[in-house]
Amino acid sequence: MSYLENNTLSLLILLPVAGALVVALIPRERETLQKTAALLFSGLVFWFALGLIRGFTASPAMQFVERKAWIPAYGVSYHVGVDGLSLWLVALTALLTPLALLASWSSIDARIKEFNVFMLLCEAGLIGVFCALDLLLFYVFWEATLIPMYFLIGIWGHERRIYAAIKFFIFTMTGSVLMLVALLVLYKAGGQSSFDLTSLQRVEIDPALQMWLFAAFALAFAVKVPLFPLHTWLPDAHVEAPTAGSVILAGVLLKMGAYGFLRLAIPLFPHAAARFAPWIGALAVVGIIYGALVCLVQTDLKKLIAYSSIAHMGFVMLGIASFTTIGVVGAVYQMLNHGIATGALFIIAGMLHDRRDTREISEFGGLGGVMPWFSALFLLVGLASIAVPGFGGFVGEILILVGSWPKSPALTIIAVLGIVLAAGYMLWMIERVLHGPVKHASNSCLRDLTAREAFVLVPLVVLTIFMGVASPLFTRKITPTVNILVHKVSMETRSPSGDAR
Amino acid sequence: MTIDFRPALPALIVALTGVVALVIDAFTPRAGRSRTQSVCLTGLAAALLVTFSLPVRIGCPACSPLTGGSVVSDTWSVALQALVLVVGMLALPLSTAYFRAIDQDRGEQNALIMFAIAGMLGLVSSVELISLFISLEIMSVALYALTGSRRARSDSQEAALKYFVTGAFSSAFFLYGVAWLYGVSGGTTFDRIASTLASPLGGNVGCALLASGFLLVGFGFKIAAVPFHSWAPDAYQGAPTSVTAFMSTAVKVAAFGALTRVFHGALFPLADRWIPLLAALAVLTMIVGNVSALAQRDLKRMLAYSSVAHAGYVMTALVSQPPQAAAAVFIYLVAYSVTNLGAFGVLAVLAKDGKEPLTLADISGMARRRPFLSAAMAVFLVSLTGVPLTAGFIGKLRVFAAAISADHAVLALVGLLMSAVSAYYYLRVVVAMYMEPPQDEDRWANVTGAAGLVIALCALAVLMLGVFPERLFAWAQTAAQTFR
Amino acid sequence: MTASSPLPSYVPILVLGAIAAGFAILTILFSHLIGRPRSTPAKSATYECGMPPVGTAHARFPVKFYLVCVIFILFDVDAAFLYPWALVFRELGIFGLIEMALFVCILGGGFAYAWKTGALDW
Repeated sequence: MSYLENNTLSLLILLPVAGALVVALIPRERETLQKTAALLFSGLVFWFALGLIRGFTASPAMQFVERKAWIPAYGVSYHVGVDGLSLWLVALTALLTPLALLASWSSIDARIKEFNVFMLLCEAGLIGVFCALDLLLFYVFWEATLIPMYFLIGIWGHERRIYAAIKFFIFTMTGSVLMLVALLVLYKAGGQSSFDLTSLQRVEIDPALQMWLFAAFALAFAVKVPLFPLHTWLPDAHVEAPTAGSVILAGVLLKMGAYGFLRLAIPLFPHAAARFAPWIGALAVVGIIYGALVCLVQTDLKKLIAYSSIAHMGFVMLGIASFTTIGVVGAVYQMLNHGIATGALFIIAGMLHDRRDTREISEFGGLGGVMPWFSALFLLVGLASIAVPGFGGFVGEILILVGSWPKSPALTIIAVLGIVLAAGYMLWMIERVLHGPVKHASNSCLRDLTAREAFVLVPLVVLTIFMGVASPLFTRKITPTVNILVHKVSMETRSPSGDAR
Repeated sequence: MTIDFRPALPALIVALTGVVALVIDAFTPRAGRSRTQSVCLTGLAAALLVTFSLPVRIGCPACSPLTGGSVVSDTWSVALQALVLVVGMLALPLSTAYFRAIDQDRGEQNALIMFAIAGMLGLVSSVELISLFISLEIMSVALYALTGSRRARSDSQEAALKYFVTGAFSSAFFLYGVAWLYGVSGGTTFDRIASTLASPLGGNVGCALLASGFLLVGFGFKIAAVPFHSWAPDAYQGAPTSVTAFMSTAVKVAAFGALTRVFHGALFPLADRWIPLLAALAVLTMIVGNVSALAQRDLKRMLAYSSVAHAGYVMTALVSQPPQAAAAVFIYLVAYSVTNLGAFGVLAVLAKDGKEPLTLADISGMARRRPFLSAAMAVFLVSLTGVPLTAGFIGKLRVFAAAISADHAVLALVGLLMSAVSAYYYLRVVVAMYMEPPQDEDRWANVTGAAGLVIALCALAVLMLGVFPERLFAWAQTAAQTFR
Repeated sequence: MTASSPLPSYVPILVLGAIAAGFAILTILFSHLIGRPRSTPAKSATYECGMPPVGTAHARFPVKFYLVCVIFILFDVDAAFLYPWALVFRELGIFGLIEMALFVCILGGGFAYAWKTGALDW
């Protein structure tokens, strides 16, 4: 057992890959077996992720660290570990993947084998991104998530899937090649000896160069988050992806961007980060308002959820840009809440799509009477998404606003306006779907939640309520790491050498 | 006579095997299938064995062999000869399968491939301009004939003619550069040239630069660098697909091998002058190659422009210091060879009854009918794009790291942005194979036997080199010892 | 220009080339400027040593000529190479014999191929 404990992270990364191999080897006709095997493997990953949380102590240190030489000639190592920033994101990935698989148990009806393989590979890549402590390893995992997601959107998506898949790929790829250039320049500045994050953090970088490098990294991450003007791939990708793809995209993939800021861009270039922070904060707030306003005019259920993601991720970025412990902790916490709530929303949209084969909000109405259980859960998830007190989202957003207030009251006030708008579009959407008379005959005999669907949704709803009332359980493990990070940035901006250099 | 002829042995073995193949072919009945493939493979294997058993020199890329003669066996030549031979061994089964599919299975192709390989082996081991030129011509003449070997089709003939005319033109440039270099240094051996260029040149600097320019033009044609690339799309499209697979990989390997030795060996004293020129050509090649590939409808043409772009990526490595440049060039060439050979190979092995897939529509939905072949093609395309965990990424990483280490970050930036552009046209093929419905009927061949094995080997190599590049890095380190 | 370089001694050749090209260009230019172009059927006819031309200039002839020509050149060069080799045969010794045997073998292979594939059949 100690071997497992020493290699938990490798296990978390390799189990899905092993699962993908197993699924690939199952004969094509045995579809149920393929689905079961994929679910089993992702469930196993979740089990080990729970062990990870249990074994994680609330300290700023990297834990579960593993380090093996990978390409020693180039100073690349397989170096993984988790701290307060990544722990919960790993857990989120491990939680959402089996639920997404279960949610699309019957809605994916073609090429089931490939679907499960790509889902598991995507999970492996995501967990790898959150664990990697070597920059090249990080880049490898970062790109490795791209291919499965591209196939997930392109093969099992809706009508404009190919357009969305290519757009998603090109946007992300452009961002990440900029990151690669910056990575190589950084490698050179560090004496061409190592890609290791800890050793590169010690490299003294000329402030002017730091600005360029930060900009390159920030662009790559901002595409992924997405930050306001770079968001245009998101509505297409989220809307066209199959349910499971949307869940993983919104739930986890977007967090890669914000996580990248916290893990790489800010600690590597604290000086530049401090200089860019007001701009990032401003763009984040623009994203909040823009996303909310666009949501108000959506007629497509998935599109509305997609644009709400832009607004929610704006909050995350606002928290990060505040560089206060409270704000950044809030941002990390908000990532989890957004992952769970938006993941659940996409699952709900998928359930409606399974039943009616449409995503138009106007096609529904009066579902509250037809599908009471479904409607109850829908309402709860909607409330969780707009951060009503009692749900996790509330804690996250409050922390972000409190953290951001001392830095920039103006931005904070505008962001609060975003919350009001969010309540508007979400409640209005829920009203149009659940309330009123049953307008369409085909809606009058829709089946309520099946046991499988309930098994997917209920844990998410319970979790978001739990996160709303027991937030210290989570933030306790986040805070120590964030303290160090915030301290580092504030040292950089206050010390005379920071600006004089 | 004390000349040591052993460094020329691999080329000799391959050339003689070619002659034997030709004679065997002449004495087998026309209707029968060619039996020369195994003979040629044996010859290549023997040459590979000999290559590795020769005494190997380290350092001094431009030095003539101590025992006289104009070809050497040093780490660089051994590494590139091995690569050329392996590419040849992989290309032969593809070629046989393809020519069987178009019903033109004769031994000439195999013999011509052997002659071309003999030329390439000479090209990468020459340390003297005349033997370099002769090797270049042996390679080129065989390739002209190979390009036109699908005699019944006019586009094959057109390709051969275009390739021949532009090739002859480039040879003239090359020869002119040789003449100028001879004029400046009074000799044709690389060490003579290098020592002359290292000494104060006075007014002859202009002549030396002119000579370097002409040589660069000559090589530029062979590696299909912009603006000397215009033959490539036509030649690659018109040539029999298996020949395209061979010539888009092996020729680039040999030409870049020689280019690296000439510029980082003989012309290295002038490096400050030709590096900006090379950098400009690299930028131009990457941009024009990738942007032109975007507009292509024909698969072979698209891959042809992509080969042009990849030549640009390799050129970016050459701006750095010799050992690093050579290592990066070697790594990229290995990665590119297995990938591109596989990509063209997939198109070649699908040929059936004289027809082959030409457009995206021809391969739409292929993933349902040929899951393994499609998966292999997807691996190749992803590797060409440069996504991690494939050989293509490792190649790009090393090449652009080399450019950045020489403070040419702009080259790396252009190159990587262009790879993002390239994602678009590579992905279109993946989209067609995986995301579009299949055609009404299955018109293409089922891949079996040696050709299938070659594709599988290439795909495996792409993945293995991408995940465990350590071995490749070590090889490159050894190969680059020549340039210490 | 440094004296060590053999290049400057070729400058007169360059000058000679320039003069030759200049002469050619000048004569053509002058005949255009001075003379008046007057086209007659006799002038535009194909030049055939004073005889009236027979048939068109684009006559087709068998490709066999071409093949024989190529094969002839190959063996012609072979023969031309053998003479100097014979002159220094004693100095080259056994090495020269092997070398030439190899060369002739390669050519012999090509000859056998050409013969067998019917390149010599008329």
